[in-house]
Amino acid sequence: MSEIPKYIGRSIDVLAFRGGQRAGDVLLEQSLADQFSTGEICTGLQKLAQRFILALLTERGSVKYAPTYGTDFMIALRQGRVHNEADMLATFALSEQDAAALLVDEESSTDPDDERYRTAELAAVTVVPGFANLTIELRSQAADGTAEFILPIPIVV
Amino acid sequence: MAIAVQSLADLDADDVEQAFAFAKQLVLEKQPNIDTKRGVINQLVLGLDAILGAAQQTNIDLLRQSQSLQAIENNPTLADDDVVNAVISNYRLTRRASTQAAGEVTIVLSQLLAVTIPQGSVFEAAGQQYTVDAAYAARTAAGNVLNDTDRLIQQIDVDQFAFTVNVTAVTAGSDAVLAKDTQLIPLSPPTSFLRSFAANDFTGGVNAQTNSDLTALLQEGLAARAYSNRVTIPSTIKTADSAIYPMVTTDFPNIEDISIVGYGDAEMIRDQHWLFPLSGGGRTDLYLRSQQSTQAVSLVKTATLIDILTDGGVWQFSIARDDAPGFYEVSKILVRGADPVETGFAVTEDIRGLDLTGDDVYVPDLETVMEGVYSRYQASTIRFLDTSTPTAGLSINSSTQDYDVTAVTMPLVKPVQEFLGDRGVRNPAGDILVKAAIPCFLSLNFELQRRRTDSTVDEASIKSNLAAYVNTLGFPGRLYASALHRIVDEALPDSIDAGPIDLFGRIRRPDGADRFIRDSSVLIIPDEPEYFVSGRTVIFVLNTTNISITTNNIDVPAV
Repeated sequence: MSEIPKYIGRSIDVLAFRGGQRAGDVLLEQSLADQFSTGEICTGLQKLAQRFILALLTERGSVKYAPTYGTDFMIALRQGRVHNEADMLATFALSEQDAAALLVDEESSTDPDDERYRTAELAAVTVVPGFANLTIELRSQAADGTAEFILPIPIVV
Repeated sequence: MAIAVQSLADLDADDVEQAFAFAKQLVLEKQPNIDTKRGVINQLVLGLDAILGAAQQTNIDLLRQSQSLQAIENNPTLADDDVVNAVISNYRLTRRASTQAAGEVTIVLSQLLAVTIPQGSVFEAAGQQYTVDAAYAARTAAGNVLNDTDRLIQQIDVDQFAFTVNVTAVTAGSDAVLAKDTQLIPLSPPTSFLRSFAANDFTGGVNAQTNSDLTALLQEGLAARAYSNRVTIPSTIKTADSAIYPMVTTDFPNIEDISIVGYGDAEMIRDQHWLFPLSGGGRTDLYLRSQQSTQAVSLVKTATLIDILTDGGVWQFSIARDDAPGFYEVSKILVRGADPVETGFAVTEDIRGLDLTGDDVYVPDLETVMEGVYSRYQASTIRFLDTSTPTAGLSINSSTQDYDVTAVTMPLVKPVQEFLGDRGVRNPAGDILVKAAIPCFLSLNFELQRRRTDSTVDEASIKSNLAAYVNTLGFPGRLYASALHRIVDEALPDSIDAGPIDLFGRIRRPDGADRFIRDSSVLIIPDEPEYFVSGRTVIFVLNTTNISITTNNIDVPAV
């Protein structure tokens, strides 16, 4: 079934983390377009996911005219305050609260449930010097098991 | 481009927020299906666009502010100069640029020796530098003076020989205007150099007009160039065309201030020249402040011995009406060639008269001498006591001697009179008399209390700022010490405070009398219309040399 009808009545965003699938591990690419594609648009869970990632990975104070946007997550990593999985769990827990506040603040009750933030948990974490692998379970306000991942669709220019 | 936001980081956060909201609303109206509230488009597209939009709006606001006369008047410091220039040009105004002070410097040598002063040679005085305008060759004999840059060396005293060169200040502005006799130090003195000093008060050296200055002149810019009222008459004078009126000089547009006294004013006496002393109108007295401060003019006068007293001879000379038109007073008399740093001889009598001769220019109605004092029609006879010239062997009423005389003037009295008296300019229904504004020569005296001995203060800067303030007040009628305190306090570090300022003024009335006023809070020009003295006719004149600052170290108990 085509994905296009699923976009009807929804608001869209540009896909910033490209390559996502309904299932399986995929290495996402942070880009808006490449030599093969003029980019994609997304909606639903994908929008929520990239909003969460943007909020989590933006250093608070780094955006000149939005000084309160972002979290201290990357600051903690950059400053070497995370040495092991326990540190990562603690840091993520603190940052998730900040990100959650930002995301909820952006939402309204009329937004689709699958675009509204509920929780994000660190399902798995591996910390080695120079690298960190995080598996995050993100939940929307949609009842568990009811939200459908709507695939991004390409923009034709 | 006159206006440009230099850095996107300097924008007002509220402006960016507004631009952000505006961009989101526009996109939402155009593309309702795009999520403008949050996410990638919100932050990475609209967020950045908002910054650029805010920058653009800031530029638009600056431009709008600069183009609005109301906005310029409300806050002239925010408006861009180039744009304001363009705006005021619509009102027939042109911003006066700052100009460099220039003048003559007398160089004194210890022997009669031909020397050359190279072009660009530097002299220093009062923290300013001055360069010589051309390569001047000082010649020992008149026959060798062949062109404008050849100067004849003249003996001015025993073993003292002098010649003059023209110099121009390196820095434009009024700070570089030197008073007559100010010492200048050459960086490369010529052979046999003894000293050098300003031969006259330097001229030029005006500051560029600020936006505030220009907005104050808007009325004059818009005014008709006609002899009509107190707005149009100054406008007529300042915009006079030298191609049509040859007496008009390049200094006319820079005239500092003008006060016009006419029918119904208590200071107007000339319109009572009838059988009964009632004002009949048809007369105008124009009090001119052509520049910020007065100007000293050097004259060489041949005086005649008229009396011999026990302590010297009484000598007399005349100052014709064109020698120093409208001059205030003689400030110094020296035997010809004497060192200008000498005090000189005191004037014992200053007898003013009128010289109304000549039929080429309209002569206003003048009945008494006092009416014409400080106008271009005044002439004067000066008597003084020379205490240094031996009188033995001299004959009363026949012995003569040359003297260097310094007269204090307000320039342009003569050409402005001639311009306004021109048949094509003057009001057919009356006459006009131009007079130098009546001077209130001001002295300031105050103490600085210093709690830390390592604290320093730039006294020259304070003096300069005080003089600039006082000399641009126009005809204020009164001068408040609090206004001067504000200027002083701005220049003081935390550990230095100023005490009360003693304001002392000497009004030289047209009848020749000195009227002294003194206060530590406000100087008020007295109302003496019978002597033409009032807030409408008197200006405060403050030279930096008349500001005395005493710095005292004070002991504060340790806490």
